[in-house]
Amino acid sequence: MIKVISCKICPFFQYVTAMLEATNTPYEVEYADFDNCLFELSPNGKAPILITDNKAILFDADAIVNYLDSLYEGQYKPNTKEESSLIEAWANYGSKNYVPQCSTMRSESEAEYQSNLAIFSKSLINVERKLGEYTYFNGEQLSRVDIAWLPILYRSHLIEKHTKVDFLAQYPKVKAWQKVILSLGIAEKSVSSDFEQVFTDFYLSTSYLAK
Amino acid sequence: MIKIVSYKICPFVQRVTAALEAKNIPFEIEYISLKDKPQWFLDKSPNGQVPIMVTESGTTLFESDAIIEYIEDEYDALENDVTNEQRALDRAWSYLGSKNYLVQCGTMSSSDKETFTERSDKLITAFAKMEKQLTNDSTFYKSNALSNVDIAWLPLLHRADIVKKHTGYDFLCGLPKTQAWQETVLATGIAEKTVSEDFEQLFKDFYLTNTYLGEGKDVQQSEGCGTSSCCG
Repeated sequence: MIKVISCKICPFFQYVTAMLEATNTPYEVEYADFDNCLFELSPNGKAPILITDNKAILFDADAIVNYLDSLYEGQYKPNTKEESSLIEAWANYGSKNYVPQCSTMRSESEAEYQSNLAIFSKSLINVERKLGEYTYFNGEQLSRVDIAWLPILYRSHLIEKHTKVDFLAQYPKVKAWQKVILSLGIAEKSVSSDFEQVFTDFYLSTSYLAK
Repeated sequence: MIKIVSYKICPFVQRVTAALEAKNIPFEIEYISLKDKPQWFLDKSPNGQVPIMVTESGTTLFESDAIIEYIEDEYDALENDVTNEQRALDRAWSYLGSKNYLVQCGTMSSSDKETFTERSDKLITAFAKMEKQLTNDSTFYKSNALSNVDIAWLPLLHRADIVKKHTGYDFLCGLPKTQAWQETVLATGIAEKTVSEDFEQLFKDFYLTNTYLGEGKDVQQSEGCGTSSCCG
C-alpha cells in the first residue's frame, strides 16, 4: 500500500493526501517530526514523501501529485496539451502560496501580518479573476487545481471559524469555490483526527491573528 | 512560431529557452522590464510573472514548470520509455533545481557577509544533495545524454560559473562530481545560446555591483561546504 510520511501541520502533505482521497486510493500515513531523521529518506530534506507499492521513494509534493494524477482515473482530464499545461500552472500556483499563507498566519506583529497578507492576497486576486464559469476550477469535474487549492481554502476556513478573520471576504468567487470544495468532505479526511487542535496550537497561540 | 516573453536575467526563462534549444525548436523572444511591466503583458499573464509562452496556436501558458511539461508533451520527448515513478523522481529533482533559483538570486544579491552566509548555506545544501545523487558512471545527470534534470539545473550551474569567473568564489567548492557535471552541462553551449548577448554584463551589474560578492573582499568559502544536515 502507498505510504505517506509527513508532519501533521504541513499543507503540502494535505495536497498529497487530498489527491489520494479524491481518487479513492488506499494509503497509510506515518507522522514524523521535522527534527526526526526520518527525513533522511527525503532527498530534499522536506516533507512529504510517498513510498510507492514498488518501494520507490518519491518526494516534492508537486511531483508526487503529478505522479498520482497520471496513475488514477476519476479526475478532470484535459482536452489538449495546452490545457494540461495550464492545469499544472494553476495547481503549482496554489501550492506556491502555501508558504505565504503560513507566513501570514504565523505573523506575530501587525506590520508583519499586513506585509505577508499582501503577498498572499495577490494569489487570491489572480484566482478570483479566473473563477466563476463552472462549479469547480476547470469544469463540472474536480481537477488537480481544486485539490492544490484545497489546503489554502481549508486553512482559511479554520482561521475564519476561530478568529472571525476571513482571508476570502473580498473575493466572492473564491468564497463560493471554498464552499463547494469543503462540502466534498475531503478536507477533513486528508488530515489527522486531531488536526484542528494541532492547527490552532501552531497558528493561533502567539500569533497576531490570535490576539 | 513560439513566443517567449521574458526578463533578461530571469533563470526561470533560461530553463524554458534551454529546453527549446535542446530540442532545436525555433522561438522568438521579447524582453520586458520588470519595473515597468507593459499593460499587454499584464493582460496576458495570469500571475503577472515571467516567463509566459505563447504557443503556435496562440494560447498563453505560464509557470515555467508547467511550460516545461508542455514542451516535453508537445514536441519529441528528450527521453522515451520513462516509468511513471522515474518521471516523478526526475520532476522532483528538477524542482529541487528550479526551487533554488530564487535562493541563488538572493544569495548573490546579499549585501553583507551574514546574509550571504545564511543564504548560501541553503543553496549549497541543494548542491550537496545533488552531489550524493551524481555518479562517476555518467557525464550528465542520469546518462551520457542530456535530460530534463540537467536543463532544470543549467541556470544554477551557469550562474555559479559566472560568479566563479568574476569573483573566484565557487558555490560548488568541495563537490567534485557537481563540478564535473557543471563542466559537462556548460560544454553543450546551451547556456550561452539561451541568454541575451549582453547577459554577462547585465548579470555583473545586477549581482556583482554593490553586493557582498562584488566587493572583492575575501569571500570565505562556507564552512558547511560539502556537508548537509539531515533534516529539512
